Amino acid sequence: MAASSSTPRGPMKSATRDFRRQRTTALALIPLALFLIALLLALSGADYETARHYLGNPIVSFLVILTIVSAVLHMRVGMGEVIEDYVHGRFFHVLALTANILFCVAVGLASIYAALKILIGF
Amino acid sequence: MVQFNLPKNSRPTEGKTFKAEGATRVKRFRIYRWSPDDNQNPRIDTYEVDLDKCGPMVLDALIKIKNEVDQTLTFRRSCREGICGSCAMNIDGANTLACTKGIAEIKGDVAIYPLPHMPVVKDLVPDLTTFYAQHASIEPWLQTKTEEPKKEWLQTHEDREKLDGLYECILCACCSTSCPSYWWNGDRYLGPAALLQAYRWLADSRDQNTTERLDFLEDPFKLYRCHTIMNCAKTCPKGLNPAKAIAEIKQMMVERA
Repeated sequence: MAASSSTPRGPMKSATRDFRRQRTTALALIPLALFLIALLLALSGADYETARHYLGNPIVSFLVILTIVSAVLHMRVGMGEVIEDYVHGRFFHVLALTANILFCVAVGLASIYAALKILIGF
Repeated sequence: MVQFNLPKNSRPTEGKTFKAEGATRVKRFRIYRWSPDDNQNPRIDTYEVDLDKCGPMVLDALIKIKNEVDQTLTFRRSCREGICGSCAMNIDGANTLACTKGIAEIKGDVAIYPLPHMPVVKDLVPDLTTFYAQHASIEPWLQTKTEEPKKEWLQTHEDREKLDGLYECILCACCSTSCPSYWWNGDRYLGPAALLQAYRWLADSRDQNTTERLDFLEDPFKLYRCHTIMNCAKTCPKGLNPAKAIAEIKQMMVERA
């Protein structure tokens, strides 16, 4: 059984899932980062109301949320790789990985909440 | 945490200098020396070699030094033609085989150290116990499930060609010991040499244990510590590309999901 199409199927474990997640979010972030730069350039010098108006557009808001999700997932996997490389003691290893996940979840949820608040206006 | 500085008792000191009296074409070899017996720090000894009375390769110079100057100098060597992998060491800042590295290729003094980041047995001899255990762990032999054919297991010329660039590995450990990821996690990351061999059996059309082999490698450390640094491909004295083999394994992992 050689590589490519004849590769047998099997359950994807967390290591491969993280590997694929890092690659797919990296690819997604290429256009999304360009969008974010374009948005920031368009909003540079704009007042609060204009910025809020732009971010309240459903398409813009959707892309912003997509950027947040991709960036946070990418950050979680990337930082996890660094921790697995360099933090070796069992206690600090688990502590750092947990802190990494909690930080990414907190940043992600706060950012998405802010984006939704502007979109829906609650 | 990772230790970035050498412990105090590992810092090399300046050692002895052995002059080549009456020589006109002199090359200086600065060689790492350490013995487990005398409780001393490692030292760098300097040997002057008369190139008019020495063969062209770094191994020729090492053998000349051992035979004629300092019999205590310890290193491994066997085939002296790049096929056994015994004389792998760090020469002029890069891992390679002393027998295939020409002295003329090196400008200035020739610095020779043991393979990096491995426990040293003595002088230029590293302890490769873990390295060999990692190679054994990937079960580097043909594994089949169907009934054995009456003669040999056949494969097409095309399938055989898939093993080119993989089967030539001589397990000299130059690649694994040049890999920063292997330095930091050498106990859990299998390293480029073992993974190249793992792919050699994954790519073999006759092998039928692909699933089991991939299951074994499905681990954050065994396979995924490779960050495509590419030192392995750069340093391989046989011109192989372990990084590409590792990428192929990762692709198989993603494809089977």
